[in-house]
Amino acid sequence: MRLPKGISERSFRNALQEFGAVVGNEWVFSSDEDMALYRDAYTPFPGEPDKQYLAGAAVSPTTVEQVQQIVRIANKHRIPLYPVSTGRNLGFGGSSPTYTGSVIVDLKRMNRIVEINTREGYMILEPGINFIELHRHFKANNIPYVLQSPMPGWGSPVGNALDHGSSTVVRDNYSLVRGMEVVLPDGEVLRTGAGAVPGSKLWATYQYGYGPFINGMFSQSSLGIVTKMCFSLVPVWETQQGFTLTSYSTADMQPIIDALLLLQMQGVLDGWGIESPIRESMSTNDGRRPYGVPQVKELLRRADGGSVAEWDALGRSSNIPVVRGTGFARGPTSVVDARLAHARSVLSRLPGVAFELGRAAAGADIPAPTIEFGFLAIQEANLGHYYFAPVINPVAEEIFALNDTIRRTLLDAGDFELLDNFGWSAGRGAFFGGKVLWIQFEFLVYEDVAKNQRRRELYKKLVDVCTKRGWLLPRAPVAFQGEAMGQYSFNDDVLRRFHETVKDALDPNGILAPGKSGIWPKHLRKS
Amino acid sequence: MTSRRTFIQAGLAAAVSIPFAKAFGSLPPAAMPLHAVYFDQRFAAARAFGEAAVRLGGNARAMSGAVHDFWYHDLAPRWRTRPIAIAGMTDPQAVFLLEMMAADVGMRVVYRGHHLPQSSGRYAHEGFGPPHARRAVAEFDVATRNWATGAARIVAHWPLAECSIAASTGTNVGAASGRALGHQALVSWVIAPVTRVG
Repeated sequence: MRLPKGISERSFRNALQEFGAVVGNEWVFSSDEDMALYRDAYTPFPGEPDKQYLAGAAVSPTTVEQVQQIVRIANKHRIPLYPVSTGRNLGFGGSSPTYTGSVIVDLKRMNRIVEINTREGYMILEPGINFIELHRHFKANNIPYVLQSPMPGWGSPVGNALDHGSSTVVRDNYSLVRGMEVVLPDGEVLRTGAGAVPGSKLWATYQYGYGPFINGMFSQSSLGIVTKMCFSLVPVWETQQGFTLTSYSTADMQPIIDALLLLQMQGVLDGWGIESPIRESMSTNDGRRPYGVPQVKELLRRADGGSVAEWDALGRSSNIPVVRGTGFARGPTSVVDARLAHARSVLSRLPGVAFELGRAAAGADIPAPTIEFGFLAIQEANLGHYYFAPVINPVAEEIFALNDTIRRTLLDAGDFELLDNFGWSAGRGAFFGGKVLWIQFEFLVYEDVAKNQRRRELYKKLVDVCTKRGWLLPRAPVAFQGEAMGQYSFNDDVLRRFHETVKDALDPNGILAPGKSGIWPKHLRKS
Repeated sequence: MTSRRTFIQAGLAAAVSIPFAKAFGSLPPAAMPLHAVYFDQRFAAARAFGEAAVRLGGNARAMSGAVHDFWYHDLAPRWRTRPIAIAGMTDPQAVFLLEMMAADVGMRVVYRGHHLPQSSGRYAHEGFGPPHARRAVAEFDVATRNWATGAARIVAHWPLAECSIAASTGTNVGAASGRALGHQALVSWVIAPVTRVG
């Protein structure tokens, strides 16, 4: 039995017995076969069990009342808990706890759709329902709203939003969150926003309520177990249509970004993206298939990364664009047509840039979420991956600086495999109102312990160099959450100290998700 | 009149019974009902496995790597009301996905056989699960030609008794995780509802 440090086996077993009295013994898991599922399937530490974050047991409640009782029992015995919704955040830790010996509170059985209001456009969900089953419900009931799902769709809308996840539709799922219901570390149930006014009908539509707005306290956090979440819904659009802008000159990247960003801020576009296809053409990141020419890798492996003139010449000779901008609009067809006509009139003024309208697609044609991963572990005998995903502002100079920094760091480490995998990236589209570019690449994990160790050190090195440039990580795998929080060091780490103050006040026994996002309870905190 | 098909199936059933008789000393144990036996038709060995499963009376279903469609349309709705076991021989990715989704309804992988292609074109084998299954897999070596048929026998008559989670079953199926198998490897497996003992 894997115990949390400082907890006796007797206390742990007593707690498990008491959990069993609450949820039924069949829903308390502690066998090796069961616990094999409550781990990071993509752990950065294969073959190093002493470094992995391993759960001691798991308990699966079905009601808020059971969650409250579990929390109170945990306080009584000082047992650390770690809640997971579906536990499928692969690449960021999956269902691994942040502290070995924790009892996973597996919320998968709390999978009700509490309410869907099609008139006011909201839904209230429990954490255990996944995108696929929710989509099934939407389809079966002809609900005229879009479900924004990442791929694969086996994750939880609640869990995804709480980790600041994204989808192809809104790109910031948390922005759709309204009210929440949360079990606090002392077992009390809290409802945020208008939900705190008994009888209010605005819980799912008006998130602020009165006084300090506390929704954010429960995202990426260890301050409560979210048992219900209200989401605003996006209506299915009649049409979505996009366009591409292509250029064979690196110098066009900034004017293209400027034009696309302005169009989104004006409400003409619903999203935009930027790429350098020639530079990205040999990357295998995210399961991509290389389609470029060998000189791409040669240039990226050079210390100088290739000159602008060389890249522009290579793009022309291989007929692969040097810059590609994309944008799209969605809504009623007549409105989309008008918006794109305006976008075209503006963008056509960019000299040397070709505008091409894409195919229109009906909103009903949005692909349903599936459980297939386009790429997965077990390709080329790797054991998984974890993400390095910094964000930057949408400035060409920053894009090139970030890529150059990552490239040089990998080159200095002699990790050509990772360099070839990353290649080059301007992200997969602009997020958060079009003002943030999110670059994400995967560190692959193998059976080679020494290689994995070097890779982890490289990850930390990248965090370090990015921190010096102000490039932050908005999400991080469990293994690197301390490093991610360490970036936010303004004013002598006042943010982390603030988090610790709140943590100590709300969770004095430190039982909820110790270490989550690099925030530790007092008794586990390093001085 | 007994048809040739029935006769062959009876003969095969008798042949299948023998290893169980060896393991358990007398009559074969009660077999767990299997909803389907999936095989990845992209691989010759998996096709042989599927054919053997048919001969053994299994509901063999071909697939080509992707699991979403049959999980979504068949398994997910079925499992919501009554989890029922499945078995198969697929690539590692498929069983990884199915294991995840089966866990949502309390099912577990109770057996895994890893079949790793060698440069000779043959396969090396390793079994994870209760002792009877590990012994059966251990009888395959790189020279064994009809190992896919043997793998089908292991899954087709999986004993109900080996679907419990308890310290006494002696299973080592947990040790199978964390192995890098490569995308040409095959995995034979059983995913089943489990009971918890003690």
